[in-house]
Amino acid sequence: MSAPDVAQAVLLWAGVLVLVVSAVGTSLAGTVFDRLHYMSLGAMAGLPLVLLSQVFATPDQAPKLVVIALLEMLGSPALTTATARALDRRRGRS
Amino acid sequence: MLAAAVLVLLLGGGGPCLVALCRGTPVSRLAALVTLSTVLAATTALLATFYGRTSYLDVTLLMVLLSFSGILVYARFFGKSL
Repeated sequence: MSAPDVAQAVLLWAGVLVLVVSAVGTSLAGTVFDRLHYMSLGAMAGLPLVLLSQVFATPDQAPKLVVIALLEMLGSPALTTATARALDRRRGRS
Repeated sequence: MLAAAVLVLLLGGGGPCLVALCRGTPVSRLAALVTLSTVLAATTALLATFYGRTSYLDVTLLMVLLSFSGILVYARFFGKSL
């Protein structure tokens, strides 16, 4: 097993682990704010790790994979903020 | 290895998100939807490599873009209308 294969496997399974922890945490966390933390964990670390592992498998698609990872990493804070703001507004009305 | 990763993602990541989508408050369901879209984006990227059709990465790109705008609309809807 060559070094790129090892790197690909490590990155892939690390990303899968982070995404599973994120999904389980989003489902089971006590408060909605805790769920938001788990939600952004998957987008900021899980998906970029999985996509980075695929750079080793398909180097010619590296630009597209990097663009997808950047879009997710840049968009995730906006989604978290928008969701938290929606929760705040709903609480303000009740 | 890729097939096993896809299976773990769908069962370990998609399953809990689907359950969370069916219960809880609207905002917690929205959080589950965001996580589910991330899990599905990773799954489609892995499937593109698994089947050797890298042009399918466009599906992942579109999914990330459309889920971003869709979830922003949902968040605005939940924040103002309900």
